[in-house]
Amino acid sequence: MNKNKFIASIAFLLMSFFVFGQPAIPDKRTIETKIADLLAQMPATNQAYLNTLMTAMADFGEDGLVQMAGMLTPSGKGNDTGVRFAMGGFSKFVTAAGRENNRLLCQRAWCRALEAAEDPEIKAFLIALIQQVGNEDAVPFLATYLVSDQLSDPAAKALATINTPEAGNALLQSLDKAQGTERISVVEALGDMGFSSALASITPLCSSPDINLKKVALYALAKIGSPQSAKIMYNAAKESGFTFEPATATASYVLWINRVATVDKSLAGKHSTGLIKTCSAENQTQTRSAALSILVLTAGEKATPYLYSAFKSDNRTYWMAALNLSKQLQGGKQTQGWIKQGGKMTGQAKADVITMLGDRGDSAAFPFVRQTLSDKEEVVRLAAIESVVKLGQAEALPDLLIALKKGSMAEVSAIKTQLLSFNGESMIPAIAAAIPEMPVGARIALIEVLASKRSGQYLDLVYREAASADAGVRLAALKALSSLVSEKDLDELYSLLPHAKSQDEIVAVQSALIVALQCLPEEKQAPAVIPVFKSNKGAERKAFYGVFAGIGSTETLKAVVDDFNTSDADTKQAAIESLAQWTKPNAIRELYQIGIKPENAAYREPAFNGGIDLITQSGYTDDQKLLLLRKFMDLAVNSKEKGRILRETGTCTTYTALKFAAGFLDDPELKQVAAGATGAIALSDKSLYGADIREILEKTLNILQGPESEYQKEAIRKHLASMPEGAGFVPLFNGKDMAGWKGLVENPIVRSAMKPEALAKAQVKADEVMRSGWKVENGILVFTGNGENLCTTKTYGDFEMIVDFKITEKGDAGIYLRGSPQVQIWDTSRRDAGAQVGSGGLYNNQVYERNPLLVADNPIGEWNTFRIIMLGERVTVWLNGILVVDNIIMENYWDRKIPIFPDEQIELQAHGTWVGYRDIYIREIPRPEPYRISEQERTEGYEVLFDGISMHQFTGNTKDYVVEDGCIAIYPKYGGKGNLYTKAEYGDFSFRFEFQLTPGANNGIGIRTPVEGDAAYVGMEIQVLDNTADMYRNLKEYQYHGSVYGVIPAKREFLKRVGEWNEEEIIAQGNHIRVILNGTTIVDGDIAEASRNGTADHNQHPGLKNTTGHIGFLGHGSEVKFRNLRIKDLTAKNRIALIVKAGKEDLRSLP
Amino acid sequence: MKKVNSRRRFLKNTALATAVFTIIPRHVLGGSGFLAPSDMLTKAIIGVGGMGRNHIPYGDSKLLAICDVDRNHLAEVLQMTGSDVKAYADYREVLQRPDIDIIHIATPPHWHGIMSAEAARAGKDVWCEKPMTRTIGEGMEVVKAVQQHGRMFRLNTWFRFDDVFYGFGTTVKPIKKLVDSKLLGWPLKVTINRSTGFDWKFYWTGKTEQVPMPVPPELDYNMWLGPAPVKPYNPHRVHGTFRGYWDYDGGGLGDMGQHYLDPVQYLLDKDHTSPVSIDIDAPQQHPDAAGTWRRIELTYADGCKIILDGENSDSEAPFIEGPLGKLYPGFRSDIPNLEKRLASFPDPQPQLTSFPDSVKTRHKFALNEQNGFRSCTLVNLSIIAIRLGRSLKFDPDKLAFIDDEGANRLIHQPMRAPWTI
Repeated sequence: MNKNKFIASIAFLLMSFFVFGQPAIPDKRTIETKIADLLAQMPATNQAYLNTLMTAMADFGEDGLVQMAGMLTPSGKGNDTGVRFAMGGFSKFVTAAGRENNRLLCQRAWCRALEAAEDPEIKAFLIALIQQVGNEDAVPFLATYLVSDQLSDPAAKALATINTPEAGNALLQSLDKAQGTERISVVEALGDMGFSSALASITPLCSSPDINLKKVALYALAKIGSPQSAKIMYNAAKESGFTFEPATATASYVLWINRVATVDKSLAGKHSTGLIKTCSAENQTQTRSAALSILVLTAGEKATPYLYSAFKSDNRTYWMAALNLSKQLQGGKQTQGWIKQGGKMTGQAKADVITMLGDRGDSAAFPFVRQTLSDKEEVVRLAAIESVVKLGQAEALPDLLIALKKGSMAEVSAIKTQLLSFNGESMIPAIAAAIPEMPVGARIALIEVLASKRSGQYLDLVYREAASADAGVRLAALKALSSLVSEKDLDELYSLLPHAKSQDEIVAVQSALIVALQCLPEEKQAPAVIPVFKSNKGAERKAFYGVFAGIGSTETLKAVVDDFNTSDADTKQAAIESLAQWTKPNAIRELYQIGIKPENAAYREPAFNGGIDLITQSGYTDDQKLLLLRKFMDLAVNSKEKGRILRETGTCTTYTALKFAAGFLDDPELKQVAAGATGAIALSDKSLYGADIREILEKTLNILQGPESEYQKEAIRKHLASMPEGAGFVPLFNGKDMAGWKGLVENPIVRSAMKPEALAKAQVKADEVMRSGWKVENGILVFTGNGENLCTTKTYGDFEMIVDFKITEKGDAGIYLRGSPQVQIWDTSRRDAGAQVGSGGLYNNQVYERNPLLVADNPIGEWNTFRIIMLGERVTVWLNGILVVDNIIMENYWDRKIPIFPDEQIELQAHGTWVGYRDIYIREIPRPEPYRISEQERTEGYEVLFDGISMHQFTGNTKDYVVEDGCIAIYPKYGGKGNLYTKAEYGDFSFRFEFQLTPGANNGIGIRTPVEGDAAYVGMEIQVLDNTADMYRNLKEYQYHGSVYGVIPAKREFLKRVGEWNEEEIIAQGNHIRVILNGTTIVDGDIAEASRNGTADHNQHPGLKNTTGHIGFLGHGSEVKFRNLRIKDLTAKNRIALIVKAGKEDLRSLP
Repeated sequence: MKKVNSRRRFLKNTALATAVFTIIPRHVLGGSGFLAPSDMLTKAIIGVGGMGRNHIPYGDSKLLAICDVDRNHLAEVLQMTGSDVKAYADYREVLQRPDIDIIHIATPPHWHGIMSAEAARAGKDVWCEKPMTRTIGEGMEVVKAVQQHGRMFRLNTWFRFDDVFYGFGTTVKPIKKLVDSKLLGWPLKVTINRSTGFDWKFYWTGKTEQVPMPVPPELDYNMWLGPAPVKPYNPHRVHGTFRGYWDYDGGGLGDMGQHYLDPVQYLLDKDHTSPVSIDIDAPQQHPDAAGTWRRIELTYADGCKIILDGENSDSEAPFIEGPLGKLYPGFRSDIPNLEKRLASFPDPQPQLTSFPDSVKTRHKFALNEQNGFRSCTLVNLSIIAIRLGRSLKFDPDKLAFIDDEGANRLIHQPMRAPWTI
């Protein structure tokens, strides 16, 4: 379960328990308290919780709800957000099916609240809620406001929504009293309802001089749709010229005809035909179309003559409206009619009929359409091509091939489109057979179809066409090859390459070669091509560069680079073009090397662009991409190129990328693109925070421009508002001097024993040594190779650190964490030293992993980026964005018996070779206070076994058992193996701890157990289990929580709810085992007794005889947390020591 | 690096389009070739505060008029366009101009329905911003007005026919071909998330607490509100941030939802229907201000599902999953040799993707009132479920929720007088 979800569900459990709890516990809270408790929970985080809260709200009763509504405050005069959330939520909750009673309750309450409220905005808010929940009972309450300047419209809308006769009558009755805008609202609402009793009252308003009143009156009459309104509707529309005007009389007239059609078809028909006749002007086409559409709807087939006549008009918009409408009239007779109409027409109109016939899909039209494939007009033939396929499907293929033969360019292209929409397998043989007899254009089209269907079996045919005398056919065939070839065709393709006659043809063959080569396994690709390449000279040799770019292997890269370095300008040009199009990131560094050399100035631009292309597509980590982008900054000569780098920087979601981009916010030519990048990074990784990020984003806001920037700006503002406080990353190195750093005095253990004066003196000397070995050069912190470690003046506990470094050949360095060596840095070629494992490892570890997971180093002389997180005693390291150390415990080099120091300085190691550092940043991470034992337990003799920070007293599976929020948490997903054990052994003891279960959790406490074998048998296991999980329903009694597994069953029912913390104590004294869970003794037994006649589970438990052993956590694949582990040694020897120490008065506290 | 991409890049010799989403669409039109001046279509843009400015070059048409309720917007845009463009404060005057062919609507969504329907009734063709309409009911009216009056309509999102489809690293066409081939099987489950670098739910949430402020003199707030209920003015309710309020839009879903959902609807061949159930996971919503959400699951009658993973909780997403296989971004799939196997299947039917061509030939544009209404309905169904805080059942033919009057009251929402649709 993820943590947030988990916390939410805990909150939910607690809430339902304490607030709305179990019916058995009477809720004695006052209504004020209940409301306050509910409001504190607003808004609910999820649906289930919302329902719980709303059910509770229903229990407030009508008075309670009215009381809550009284807490609404006028807009801007106080914060009633919670109240609005609650009231809005409840109003929606009650409208679901099956909540009718609550809905009535809600309605009554809001109506009373409406009466009581004074502020118009609050009243409007309540009316809007009533609009959601109200029925006829709300009508009188709403009707009051129909004659009210500000509230008549909301009230009228609520009544229209309630839409009962009572609502209509209320509106109607207020019509006389309502004036001005009130009346307009009332009339419109009556219209929305289509309230026919209002007909007589509304009719006279249609002649109002108030255009808005006239508009809504006409609208209302239209919605009522009475035949009686015919004249008034017609006249109003006529007055408007049957076009649009603000009173929308024509629209209302059309609406009215639509409505009348449902009660009196012939009347609607009469008005429709009237309109069709009248509206012949261009600007009335839409009105005429609407009339035609209603006519089709009402008169059906009888509308056909009108459609024909519309079709014959000279207004394409209108005839197309008719043709589109004609599709609503199905049937063979209609199809035949249109065929006949089409047959009489020519040109565009005929084409449009053919298209319509295709859309109708009546195959009866197939013969007609097929015949129009050879119409004398192209526009008709083009329409026929589409329709013939729609009607005939595969049957149309022979006709299309015939049409293709003599078709124009447009027809060839249209036929090709249609052929692509065919199922390939069925048509390919026919197409292949047709190719030889086709003219050039058609032949090209068919070759392209063949290619798109990847019909490899016709490769010979394509080769033949590739030798065509026609350049177009030849190119099409060559281009088709890449869709058809495989590794078997390499020789044929090699032989084609020298014969390519144009750049396009070369590219086509190259593409085919790439495809064919890529059919081979990657390691065989270069060997298959390089010998052929080497046997060629001049232009033929250069033709291979393009192929190399496509397959991109190391060997081919070397071949092109060698040619570039050793050849004439022509070859150089071809080589750089190839490199600039390289498809694998291995060319990035080569492009840089070429571009950076002054003598290659002519090739700088393609080198730059090709390099950036490759970086963009490399799939490298953001850290690595950023390093490369920064490197390419050396090659950028103008703002356009620098801008390109900054744009790409914006896709690298790292702190360093953000800082890098921010460095350009003051550059007049680059600040827009830089701000785009800083904004994008900050919004992509919202975990970045801190004073510097805040400042950068404020600046970004001021810079971003353009209409679309509002999106990003708004998001940035929001992000700033919710960004956590705190310093975030701070620089450890200012780029100018050694501020914040000091020289090294001894190791932390020696140092801590030194007297302040001695230390101060030694420090002065050390600082002098530092200045000789460490320098700042061009903003880079450099270790010259002589001297001692460089140390931060500050000490650090938990932190995240980012640092860029580079070394020279045979280089060796490292970063000391908390004064201790080290995160390793070295030249990976130093195999003698074991450096081939790569940098980043915890070099001095002996027990835990010391080597990095992967080699992620960049070549010597290039920058690398470390991201190091140290939490407690564990360290995680990313090198160039790649995880190389995964949450590994770092050992204390200076004293291997103790865990790593809790706080110490960070040091840059001096190891005799040159090192450069830049961009050193650190973010301190607040950590929990270590668990401290209570004074009482301390005097009783308990000792801390786990303090929430260090697992130093444990051994075994430290991968799945991790320290988190002061707990030992078990995450089986981390891929560890086995159990976690105490390093020490315990015989008689009292072990106290707290634990938290997840649903279905299963773990166990091993006692007196060896670290090998199944602790339940070779030692003892005190079970840890979620007893309530359904899957454990049928366990044996000795398998439930607390049981000495298989031996002594525990009492159940004393676990807290899953997710809550439990207290447990295990006391083992000789054969006597006691387990106390949350204050209740759940096991109190003698293992010798319990196993005398064989154990309950009938298994051998040799471990019962152990007198001592480790304590272990016995994971079973589920998530469990333990904390506050402490132990007291109860062996006789220790008891005596304790008695002596504690004195007599404390003796009674000893077991 | 992925092999497929590398080869494509090489073969086509084109720079790879960056994955970063830009809201400014490419110039997607103009496929019809050279237009003689006499053929030049004319247009007006309503709403030129933000998105409307991007409409100036759309469609190779001549801009004759702009309209806005904020005088400053008009003045700013006139500076950009020159003097032959006339500025209006009332869109109805623009609709009455006989010389304008196409009305571009780039206002907040609470105006989209009325303006589209009225433009159709005025004999104009319509190019409308997404989301198509703020309510399902208004969408029904737009469909009716456009179809009854024989008009052409295009909705301004383009991923069903152009540009790389969000997060999939390819256009929709080959995906459609794959889906139609049934190589993945049926029914399909499409999971989409924030794969664009553009956070679709983080943006555009409203403020739950507002101090009423005086309306600035350049703004006609009453006209800005139009059919929406009157609420005290606060600058956060209007320009640039209006999407955070249910009265005008639907938060991030309103803004980005149709971009994401429309291509999926097309892929699943659901242009004429709607889901039968809507399930959500979201925090409780404020009655006025839109909030965020975590997950929305839309299920069609045949079992096809669209899942909006607002939390990006599924690291593999976006993907399309069927009983026989799964398709990931960059056309990766667990089906071996997918591209080769797919070759013999038919290409999807060509789409009409030039709106000027649509206007001139009177053939429906690829994304029109009909399928645009359905994809906008996906947005509106989701918004209604989130606002109500519960899962819903829907009848895609009757266009009504089943057994849920609370939800049904949100399908048609009466407008403030004197506005009607």
